[in-house]
Amino acid sequence: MDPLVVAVIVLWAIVIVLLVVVFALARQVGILFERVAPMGALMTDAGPKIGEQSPRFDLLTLDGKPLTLGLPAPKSTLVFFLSTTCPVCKKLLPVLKSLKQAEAQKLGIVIASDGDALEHAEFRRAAGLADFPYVLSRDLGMTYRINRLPFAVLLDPQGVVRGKGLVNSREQLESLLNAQDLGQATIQNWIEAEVAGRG
Amino acid sequence: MIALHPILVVIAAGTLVCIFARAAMHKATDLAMFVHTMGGYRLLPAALLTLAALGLLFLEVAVILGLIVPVTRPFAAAVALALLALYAAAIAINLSRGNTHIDCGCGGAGQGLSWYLVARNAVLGMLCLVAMASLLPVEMTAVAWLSAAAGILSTILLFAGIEKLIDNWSWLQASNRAFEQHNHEGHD
Repeated sequence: MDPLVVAVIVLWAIVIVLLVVVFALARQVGILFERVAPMGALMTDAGPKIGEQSPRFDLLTLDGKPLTLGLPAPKSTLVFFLSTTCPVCKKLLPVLKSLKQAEAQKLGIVIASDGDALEHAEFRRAAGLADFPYVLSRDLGMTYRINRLPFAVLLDPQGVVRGKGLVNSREQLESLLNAQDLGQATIQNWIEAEVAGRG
Repeated sequence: MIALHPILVVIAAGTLVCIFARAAMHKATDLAMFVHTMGGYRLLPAALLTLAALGLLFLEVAVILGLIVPVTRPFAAAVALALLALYAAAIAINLSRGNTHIDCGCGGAGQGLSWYLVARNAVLGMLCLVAMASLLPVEMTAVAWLSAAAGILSTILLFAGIEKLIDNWSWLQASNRAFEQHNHEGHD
Protein backbone atom coordinates (compact mmCIF):
# COMPACT_ATOMS: atom_id res chain seq x y z
CA MET A 1 0.00 0.00 0.00
CA ASP A 2 1.21 3.48 -0.87
CA PRO A 3 2.40 5.18 2.35
CA LEU A 4 0.60 8.36 1.29
CA VAL A 5 -2.71 6.49 1.19
CA VAL A 6 -2.10 5.11 4.66
CA ALA A 7 -1.22 8.60 5.89
CA VAL A 8 -4.42 10.06 4.42
CA ILE A 9 -6.57 7.38 6.06
CA VAL A 10 -4.90 7.83 9.44
CA LEU A 11 -5.16 11.62 9.25
CA TRP A 12 -8.86 11.53 8.34
CA ALA A 13 -9.50 9.20 11.26
CA ILE A 14 -7.74 11.61 13.61
CA VAL A 15 -9.54 14.67 12.20
CA ILE A 16 -12.94 13.04 12.68
CA VAL A 17 -12.15 11.89 16.21
CA LEU A 18 -10.90 15.39 17.08
CA LEU A 19 -14.06 16.99 15.70
CA VAL A 20 -16.20 14.58 17.72
CA VAL A 21 -14.22 15.60 20.80
CA VAL A 22 -14.71 19.32 20.05
CA PHE A 23 -18.44 18.80 19.59
CA ALA A 24 -18.72 16.77 22.79
CA LEU A 25 -16.82 19.43 24.74
CA ALA A 26 -19.03 22.20 23.41
CA ARG A 27 -22.09 20.17 24.35
CA GLN A 28 -20.83 19.53 27.85
CA VAL A 29 -20.09 23.22 28.36
CA GLY A 30 -23.65 23.94 27.24
CA ILE A 31 -25.10 21.42 29.70
CA LEU A 32 -23.01 22.92 32.51
CA PHE A 33 -24.35 26.36 31.67
CA GLU A 34 -27.90 25.11 31.85
CA ARG A 35 -27.30 23.39 35.18
CA VAL A 36 -25.26 25.89 37.14
CA ALA A 37 -25.36 29.36 35.66
CA PRO A 38 -27.33 30.88 37.18
CA MET A 39 -28.28 28.45 39.91
CA GLY A 40 -31.98 28.22 40.50
CA ALA A 41 -34.69 30.35 39.04
CA LEU A 42 -33.51 33.93 39.19
CA MET A 43 -35.39 36.04 41.66
CA THR A 44 -36.65 39.47 40.96
CA ASP A 45 -37.76 41.33 44.05
CA ALA A 46 -40.47 43.53 42.61
CA GLY A 47 -44.15 42.60 42.81
CA PRO A 48 -45.83 40.40 45.45
CA LYS A 49 -43.15 38.90 47.71
CA ILE A 50 -42.54 35.27 48.52
CA GLY A 51 -44.77 34.29 51.42
CA GLU A 52 -47.32 37.01 50.70
CA GLN A 53 -50.87 36.34 49.63
CA SER A 54 -51.25 36.81 45.89
CA PRO A 55 -53.66 39.59 44.91
CA ARG A 56 -56.91 38.16 43.60
CA PHE A 57 -57.37 38.00 39.85
CA ASP A 58 -60.64 37.11 38.17
CA LEU A 59 -59.68 36.12 34.66
CA LEU A 60 -61.22 34.56 31.59
CA THR A 61 -59.30 31.87 29.73
CA LEU A 62 -59.09 31.87 25.94
CA ASP A 63 -61.86 29.25 26.01
CA GLY A 64 -64.07 31.75 27.84
CA LYS A 65 -63.99 29.85 31.17
CA PRO A 66 -63.59 31.86 34.38
CA LEU A 67 -60.32 31.38 36.28
CA THR A 68 -59.49 32.88 39.65
CA LEU A 69 -55.95 33.23 40.98
CA GLY A 70 -55.02 34.15 44.53
CA LEU A 71 -57.83 32.30 46.31
CA PRO A 72 -57.56 28.95 48.12
CA ALA A 73 -57.60 26.15 45.54
CA PRO A 74 -57.41 22.34 45.72
CA LYS A 75 -53.79 22.31 44.49
CA SER A 76 -50.77 24.52 43.89
CA THR A 77 -50.75 26.66 40.77
CA LEU A 78 -47.82 27.41 38.52
CA VAL A 79 -48.40 30.51 36.42
CA PHE A 80 -46.11 30.47 33.40
CA PHE A 81 -45.71 33.80 31.61
CA LEU A 82 -44.67 33.59 27.97
CA SER A 83 -44.85 35.47 24.73
CA THR A 84 -45.54 33.98 21.34
CA THR A 85 -42.17 35.07 19.96
CA CYS A 86 -39.73 34.23 22.76
CA PRO A 87 -37.51 31.33 21.70
CA VAL A 88 -36.70 30.12 25.23
CA CYS A 89 -40.42 29.94 26.06
CA LYS A 90 -40.90 27.51 23.18
CA LYS A 91 -38.02 25.41 24.44
CA LEU A 92 -39.75 25.07 27.81
CA LEU A 93 -43.18 24.07 26.46
CA PRO A 94 -42.34 20.33 26.35
CA VAL A 95 -41.11 20.64 29.96
CA LEU A 96 -44.44 22.18 30.96
CA LYS A 97 -46.31 19.38 29.24
CA SER A 98 -44.33 16.67 31.02
CA LEU A 99 -44.63 18.55 34.32
CA LYS A 100 -48.40 18.73 33.88
CA GLN A 101 -48.53 14.96 33.44
CA ALA A 102 -46.11 14.12 36.26
CA GLU A 103 -47.55 16.52 38.86
CA ALA A 104 -51.21 16.37 37.85
CA GLN A 105 -52.21 15.50 41.46
CA LYS A 106 -50.47 18.42 43.12
CA LEU A 107 -50.04 21.12 40.53
CA GLY A 108 -52.20 23.06 38.10
CA ILE A 109 -50.42 24.97 35.35
CA VAL A 110 -51.77 28.21 33.92
CA ILE A 111 -50.26 29.93 30.89
CA ALA A 112 -50.36 33.70 31.02
CA SER A 113 -49.52 36.43 28.55
CA ASP A 114 -51.03 39.55 27.11
CA GLY A 115 -51.69 40.94 23.66
CA ASP A 116 -53.85 40.02 20.72
CA ALA A 117 -56.28 37.16 21.52
CA LEU A 118 -56.36 35.87 17.93
CA GLU A 119 -52.58 35.69 17.75
CA HIS A 120 -52.47 33.81 21.04
CA ALA A 121 -55.23 31.42 19.98
CA GLU A 122 -53.21 30.63 16.86
CA PHE A 123 -50.02 30.14 18.90
CA ARG A 124 -51.84 27.95 21.39
CA ARG A 125 -53.09 25.72 18.59
CA ALA A 126 -49.67 25.55 16.87
CA ALA A 127 -47.86 24.76 20.12
CA GLY A 128 -50.38 22.11 21.22
CA LEU A 129 -51.31 23.90 24.44
CA ALA A 130 -55.04 23.19 24.23
CA ASP A 131 -54.95 21.31 27.59
CA PHE A 132 -53.66 24.31 29.51
CA PRO A 133 -55.82 27.16 30.80
CA TYR A 134 -54.51 30.15 28.86
CA VAL A 135 -55.18 33.65 30.13
CA LEU A 136 -54.44 37.05 28.64
CA SER A 137 -54.15 39.76 31.26
CA ARG A 138 -52.09 42.90 31.21
CA ASP A 139 -53.02 43.43 34.85
CA LEU A 140 -51.55 40.08 35.96
CA GLY A 141 -48.23 40.76 34.25
CA MET A 142 -48.05 44.31 35.61
CA THR A 143 -48.84 43.25 39.18
CA TYR A 144 -46.11 40.62 39.18
CA ARG A 145 -43.75 43.07 37.43
CA ILE A 146 -42.93 40.69 34.63
CA ASN A 147 -40.24 42.29 32.50
CA ARG A 148 -38.38 39.25 31.29
CA LEU A 149 -39.70 36.02 29.82
CA PRO A 150 -40.22 33.18 30.42
CA PHE A 151 -41.23 33.93 34.00
CA ALA A 152 -42.95 31.60 36.45
CA VAL A 153 -44.89 32.22 39.67
CA LEU A 154 -45.75 29.38 42.02
CA LEU A 155 -48.81 29.75 44.26
CA ASP A 156 -49.55 27.24 47.03
CA PRO A 157 -53.10 25.91 47.62
CA GLN A 158 -53.81 28.87 49.93
CA GLY A 159 -52.96 31.32 47.16
CA VAL A 160 -49.67 32.37 48.81
CA VAL A 161 -46.69 33.09 46.55
CA ARG A 162 -44.16 30.29 47.15
CA GLY A 163 -41.69 31.00 44.39
CA LYS A 164 -41.19 33.15 41.37
CA GLY A 165 -38.47 33.96 38.94
CA LEU A 166 -37.07 34.02 35.49
CA VAL A 167 -36.86 30.45 34.19
CA ASN A 168 -34.54 29.73 31.31
CA SER A 169 -34.28 25.97 31.57
CA ARG A 170 -35.88 22.81 32.87
CA GLU A 171 -33.52 22.92 35.85
CA GLN A 172 -34.63 26.41 36.82
CA LEU A 173 -38.30 25.52 36.50
CA GLU A 174 -37.76 22.47 38.68
CA SER A 175 -35.76 24.49 41.18
CA LEU A 176 -38.79 26.70 41.62
CA LEU A 177 -40.83 23.65 42.63
CA ASN A 178 -37.99 22.26 44.76
CA ALA A 179 -37.68 25.58 46.57
CA GLN A 180 -41.19 24.97 47.87
CA ASP A 181 -40.24 21.50 49.05
CA LEU A 182 -37.12 22.83 50.80
CA GLY A 183 -39.18 25.38 52.70
CA GLN A 184 -37.03 28.19 51.35
CA ALA A 185 -38.24 30.88 49.01
CA THR A 186 -35.45 30.41 46.50
CA ILE A 187 -32.49 28.15 45.96
CA GLN A 188 -30.34 31.24 46.54
CA ASN A 189 -31.89 31.71 49.99
CA TRP A 190 -31.39 28.06 50.75
CA ILE A 191 -27.70 28.24 49.83
CA GLU A 192 -27.30 31.41 51.90
CA ALA A 193 -28.95 29.70 54.86
CA GLU A 194 -26.70 26.65 54.41
CA VAL A 195 -23.57 28.80 54.20
CA ALA A 196 -24.62 30.86 57.21
CA GLY A 197 -25.30 27.67 59.15
CA ARG A 198 -21.82 26.41 58.45
CA GLY A 199 -20.09 29.75 59.11
CA MET B 1 -17.56 27.89 -15.39
CA ILE B 2 -14.59 26.80 -13.33
CA ALA B 3 -13.85 23.12 -12.99
CA LEU B 4 -12.94 21.64 -9.61
CA HIS B 5 -11.65 18.32 -8.40
CA PRO B 6 -14.58 15.91 -7.85
CA ILE B 7 -13.58 15.37 -4.22
CA LEU B 8 -14.28 19.04 -3.43
CA VAL B 9 -17.58 19.01 -5.29
CA VAL B 10 -18.73 15.80 -3.57
CA ILE B 11 -17.83 17.22 -0.16
CA ALA B 12 -19.74 20.45 -0.84
CA ALA B 13 -22.81 18.71 -2.27
CA GLY B 14 -22.85 16.04 0.45
CA THR B 15 -22.63 18.61 3.24
CA LEU B 16 -25.46 20.63 1.70
CA VAL B 17 -27.60 17.50 1.40
CA CYS B 18 -27.20 16.80 5.12
CA ILE B 19 -27.85 20.41 6.17
CA PHE B 20 -30.94 20.74 3.96
CA ALA B 21 -32.18 17.34 5.15
CA ARG B 22 -32.08 18.59 8.73
CA ALA B 23 -33.89 21.78 7.76
CA ALA B 24 -36.57 19.91 5.80
CA MET B 25 -37.03 17.38 8.62
CA HIS B 26 -37.50 20.21 11.10
CA LYS B 27 -40.20 21.77 8.91
CA ALA B 28 -41.95 18.51 8.04
CA THR B 29 -42.20 17.23 11.63
CA ASP B 30 -43.76 20.40 13.00
CA LEU B 31 -45.19 22.40 10.14
CA ALA B 32 -47.70 24.25 12.33
CA MET B 33 -44.92 25.52 14.58
CA PHE B 34 -42.82 26.49 11.57
CA VAL B 35 -45.71 28.48 10.12
CA HIS B 36 -45.99 30.28 13.42
CA THR B 37 -42.23 30.94 13.45
CA MET B 38 -42.47 32.40 9.94
CA GLY B 39 -45.21 34.70 11.22
CA GLY B 40 -42.68 36.04 13.74
CA TYR B 41 -40.56 37.34 10.88
CA ARG B 42 -43.42 39.69 9.89
CA LEU B 43 -42.62 39.54 6.19
CA LEU B 44 -45.68 37.81 4.74
CA PRO B 45 -49.43 38.26 5.28
CA ALA B 46 -50.84 35.54 7.54
CA ALA B 47 -52.98 34.08 4.74
CA LEU B 48 -49.89 33.18 2.70
CA LEU B 49 -47.83 31.67 5.53
CA THR B 50 -48.92 28.03 5.22
CA LEU B 51 -48.55 28.10 1.45
CA ALA B 52 -45.09 29.65 1.71
CA ALA B 53 -44.01 27.10 4.34
CA LEU B 54 -45.11 24.23 2.09
CA GLY B 55 -43.33 25.88 -0.84
CA LEU B 56 -40.07 26.13 1.13
CA LEU B 57 -40.37 22.53 2.27
CA PHE B 58 -40.95 21.40 -1.33
CA LEU B 59 -37.95 23.40 -2.60
CA GLU B 60 -35.73 21.98 0.14
CA VAL B 61 -36.69 18.40 -0.69
CA ALA B 62 -36.11 19.16 -4.39
CA VAL B 63 -32.67 20.55 -3.55
CA ILE B 64 -31.76 17.41 -1.58
CA LEU B 65 -32.79 15.05 -4.41
CA GLY B 66 -31.29 17.31 -7.09
CA LEU B 67 -27.91 17.49 -5.36
CA ILE B 68 -27.67 13.71 -5.22
CA VAL B 69 -28.33 13.18 -8.96
CA PRO B 70 -25.17 14.23 -10.92
CA VAL B 71 -27.03 15.74 -13.91
CA THR B 72 -29.18 18.09 -11.83
CA ARG B 73 -26.47 18.95 -9.26
CA PRO B 74 -25.54 22.43 -10.61
CA PHE B 75 -29.21 23.50 -10.84
CA ALA B 76 -30.03 22.16 -7.38
CA ALA B 77 -26.98 23.98 -5.98
CA ALA B 78 -28.19 27.20 -7.60
CA VAL B 79 -31.65 26.77 -6.01
CA ALA B 80 -29.95 26.03 -2.67
CA LEU B 81 -27.94 29.25 -3.02
CA ALA B 82 -31.14 31.20 -3.73
CA LEU B 83 -32.89 29.67 -0.68
CA LEU B 84 -29.94 30.47 1.59
CA ALA B 85 -29.85 34.04 0.27
CA LEU B 86 -33.60 34.34 0.90
CA TYR B 87 -33.24 33.11 4.50
CA ALA B 88 -30.26 35.39 5.09
CA ALA B 89 -32.22 38.35 3.74
CA ALA B 90 -35.22 37.56 5.97
CA ILE B 91 -32.91 37.36 8.99
CA ALA B 92 -31.01 40.53 8.03
CA ILE B 93 -34.25 42.50 7.60
CA ASN B 94 -35.41 41.50 11.07
CA LEU B 95 -32.00 42.19 12.59
CA SER B 96 -32.07 45.71 11.16
CA ARG B 97 -35.62 46.13 12.55
CA GLY B 98 -34.23 45.16 15.95
CA ASN B 99 -36.66 42.25 15.99
CA THR B 100 -34.05 39.80 17.31
CA HIS B 101 -36.01 37.95 19.96
CA ILE B 102 -37.96 35.77 17.58
CA ASP B 103 -37.32 32.10 17.03
CA CYS B 104 -35.00 31.72 14.03
CA GLY B 105 -36.73 28.51 12.93
CA CYS B 106 -33.41 27.10 11.81
CA GLY B 107 -33.50 23.79 13.64
CA GLY B 108 -31.48 24.63 16.73
CA ALA B 109 -33.38 24.72 20.02
CA GLY B 110 -34.66 28.21 20.66
CA GLN B 111 -32.00 30.35 19.05
CA GLY B 112 -32.77 34.02 18.59
CA LEU B 113 -31.59 35.92 15.53
CA SER B 114 -28.02 37.08 15.19
CA TRP B 115 -25.56 38.12 12.52
CA TYR B 116 -23.90 34.77 13.06
CA LEU B 117 -26.81 33.18 11.20
CA VAL B 118 -26.25 35.49 8.24
CA ALA B 119 -22.54 34.62 8.24
CA ARG B 120 -23.40 30.93 8.43
CA ASN B 121 -25.61 31.23 5.37
CA ALA B 122 -22.81 33.05 3.55
CA VAL B 123 -20.43 30.14 4.24
CA LEU B 124 -23.08 27.65 3.12
CA GLY B 125 -23.56 29.80 0.01
CA MET B 126 -19.88 29.30 -0.82
CA LEU B 127 -20.41 25.56 -0.52
CA CYS B 128 -23.23 25.96 -3.07
CA LEU B 129 -20.85 27.68 -5.46
CA VAL B 130 -18.41 24.77 -5.12
CA ALA B 131 -21.26 22.31 -5.69
CA MET B 132 -22.22 24.19 -8.88
CA ALA B 133 -18.75 23.79 -10.43
CA SER B 134 -18.15 21.36 -13.24
CA LEU B 135 -15.86 18.38 -12.62
CA LEU B 136 -12.24 18.03 -13.68
CA PRO B 137 -11.80 14.81 -15.67
CA VAL B 138 -10.19 12.94 -12.79
CA GLU B 139 -10.93 9.36 -11.90
CA MET B 140 -12.40 8.90 -8.43
CA THR B 141 -10.31 6.17 -6.82
CA ALA B 142 -11.26 4.37 -3.63
CA VAL B 143 -9.08 6.73 -1.59
CA ALA B 144 -10.73 9.70 -3.26
CA TRP B 145 -14.18 8.43 -2.23
CA LEU B 146 -12.90 7.81 1.28
CA SER B 147 -11.56 11.38 1.42
CA ALA B 148 -14.86 12.72 0.11
CA ALA B 149 -16.88 10.79 2.70
CA ALA B 150 -14.54 11.77 5.53
CA GLY B 151 -14.64 15.36 4.28
CA ILE B 152 -18.45 15.46 4.44
CA LEU B 153 -18.46 13.98 7.93
CA SER B 154 -15.78 16.44 9.13
CA THR B 155 -17.54 19.48 7.69
CA ILE B 156 -20.83 18.52 9.32
CA LEU B 157 -19.18 17.85 12.67
CA LEU B 158 -17.39 21.18 12.42
CA PHE B 159 -20.70 22.94 11.74
CA ALA B 160 -22.39 21.17 14.63
CA GLY B 161 -19.52 22.08 16.97
CA ILE B 162 -19.54 25.75 15.97
CA GLU B 163 -23.32 25.88 16.32
CA LYS B 164 -23.06 24.44 19.82
CA LEU B 165 -20.42 27.00 20.79
CA ILE B 166 -22.59 29.86 19.48
CA ASP B 167 -25.45 28.44 21.52
CA ASN B 168 -23.24 28.42 24.62
CA TRP B 169 -22.17 31.97 23.90
CA SER B 170 -25.78 33.18 23.94
CA TRP B 171 -26.26 31.31 27.23
CA LEU B 172 -23.23 33.06 28.66
CA GLN B 173 -24.59 36.45 27.62
CA ALA B 174 -28.04 35.72 29.02
CA SER B 175 -26.67 34.57 32.36
CA ASN B 176 -24.35 37.60 32.56
CA ARG B 177 -27.31 39.91 32.04
CA ALA B 178 -29.41 38.00 34.53
CA PHE B 179 -26.65 38.12 37.14
CA GLU B 180 -26.18 41.85 36.66
CA GLN B 181 -29.89 42.41 37.10
CA HIS B 182 -29.94 40.15 40.15
CA ASN B 183 -26.98 41.89 41.82
CA HIS B 184 -28.37 45.29 40.96
CA GLU B 185 -31.72 44.51 42.56
CA GLY B 186 -30.03 42.90 45.54
CA HIS B 187 -28.27 46.18 46.43
CA ASP B 188 -31.27 48.49 46.09
